Amino acid sequence: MTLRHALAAASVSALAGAVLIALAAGTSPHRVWLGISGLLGVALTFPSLVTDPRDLLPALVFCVPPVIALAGDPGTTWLIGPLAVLLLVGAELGAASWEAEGKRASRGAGVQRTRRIGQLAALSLVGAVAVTFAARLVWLESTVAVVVAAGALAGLAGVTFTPAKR
Amino acid sequence: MSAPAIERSTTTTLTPARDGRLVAYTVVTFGVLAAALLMGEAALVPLAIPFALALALGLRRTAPVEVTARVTLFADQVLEGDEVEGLLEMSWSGDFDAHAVIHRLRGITIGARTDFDERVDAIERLEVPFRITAAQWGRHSLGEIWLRLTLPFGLVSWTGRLMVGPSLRVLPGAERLNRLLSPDRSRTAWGVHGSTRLGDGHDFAELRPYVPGDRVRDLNWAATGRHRRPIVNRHHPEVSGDVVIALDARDDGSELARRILTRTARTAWALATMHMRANDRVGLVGLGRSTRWLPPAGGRLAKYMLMETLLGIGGEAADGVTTSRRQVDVPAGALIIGLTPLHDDDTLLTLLRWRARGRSLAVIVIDPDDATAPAATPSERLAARLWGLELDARIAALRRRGVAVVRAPVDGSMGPVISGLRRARQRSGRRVG
Repeated sequence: MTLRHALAAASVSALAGAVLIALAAGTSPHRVWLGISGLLGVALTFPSLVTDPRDLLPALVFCVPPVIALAGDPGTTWLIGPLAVLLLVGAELGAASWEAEGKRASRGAGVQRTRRIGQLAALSLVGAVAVTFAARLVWLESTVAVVVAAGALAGLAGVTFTPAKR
Repeated sequence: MSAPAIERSTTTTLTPARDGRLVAYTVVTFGVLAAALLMGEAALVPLAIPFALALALGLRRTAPVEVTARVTLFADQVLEGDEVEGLLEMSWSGDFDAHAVIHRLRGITIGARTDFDERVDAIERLEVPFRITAAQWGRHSLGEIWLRLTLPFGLVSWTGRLMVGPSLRVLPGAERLNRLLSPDRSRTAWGVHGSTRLGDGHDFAELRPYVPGDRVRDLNWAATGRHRRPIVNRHHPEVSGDVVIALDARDDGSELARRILTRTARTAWALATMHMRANDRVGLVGLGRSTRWLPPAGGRLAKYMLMETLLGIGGEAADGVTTSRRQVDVPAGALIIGLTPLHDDDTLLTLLRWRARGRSLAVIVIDPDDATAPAATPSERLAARLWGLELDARIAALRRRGVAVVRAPVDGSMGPVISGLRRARQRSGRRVG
């Protein structure tokens, strides 16, 4: 199995995992339709991995509804953040598999890219969890809390990832 | 063989292009945030956070990037098979992951490859030394140099062609020849071919009685003794003529075609050099995808022009370039020496057309029979046999019209081939020197 195939398989697995967890944990009465949407989303991942120009939009758009449905049950809303990170990881791995195409694609570059995806996933998870708890704070209006948290997170990300001046 | 280094440099502005994730992340981020606001459901916002983060990081730089690139080749002229060292230097502002590619290499290989691919992370300057091998004679460009810059976590990339690399002149190794083919009609300049006219020279023409003014060294003592009166030798003057080398430069991209082309080029260059050394005026016709025509001329400048034309023919053959094909009107009296595998009907028709117009013609057929792999299957054997018959028919068509034809192997010395061609010309009634 080549690096490209491994990354593509990991991408599909991540997206399918997010959809399956969302469907398993969710209590929505429309789970059949959500399942169809998720299945379609995962199925649309395959053309995004092989066709040119590359486009992840259809796959993501159909994978998101099962995760959105978790918001209807207060007991499962904490899962939305981690599953969103899983969706992002799936998309990033798909994009990494594009880069790994070709006979001379470097394994080192693939490992480097995977490490960066891990960094992005970790930061996103921290951010998503932070926003989840910020939204539950009683002393702020929920929308205001979200905006404040998102702004703080963006600032943090900017400081973390801006390259140092030489 | 080497020459001073050549370099080419350029400055190019690369504009950003979006990645396949950008639109998807944007739609998910704003779609989910809009849904959260409309539904008053703050719990949805964490779904948008990872994608919003990816967007914020991915779009932190979107301005065009100015790239300065320079390619240096430490020789501009080499022989086939020689290696040349080069240096690719690129610089830009900011730390980018860089992916440089040189492609569309023709007649040149980098290592065992025909392209070049270099990836490095987070740098502002890229310097890559490389070593290329001149695989095929001709004038070859180093190829197109492309660069792709990306930022870590970036959702845009900067991609563009920076330049076409400098050209390398790859000279064919010359064959060793020691015999000349005599032009059909001599010019008045001194050369080493025999003429039908009489004058000073080395080749014996006739005997005649001595007349006052004859040189004593021309006395033929044996004839004088037999006739009991002074008899002198007469000689042909040595004069030069016009020679036009017709080079069949059709290349189907196969290894065999490349070997045939190399052989024809080496032979053409060797013939041209020998005839020029004999004060002949030499011209060149390239019969390939395009027609190249260099009228006969002599002297050092003509030799340089001949080499340039030969390299141009080789470069076009390697690149598969087609410009224009036309009929060439070779001057009357010039000897045309055709170098061809006779694979193409057009070449045969061109040669026959010249012959029909009364041009003196000698053809060396580069026969790849020994160089091809033996036929393994009945159908391959049949195909080889059919082609053999077709080639025989084409050669017979030339011979029927009084054209001297010899076959030459793809490898080996060309000296015996030239000797054979001289004999063939004698048999076909042409005058030889």
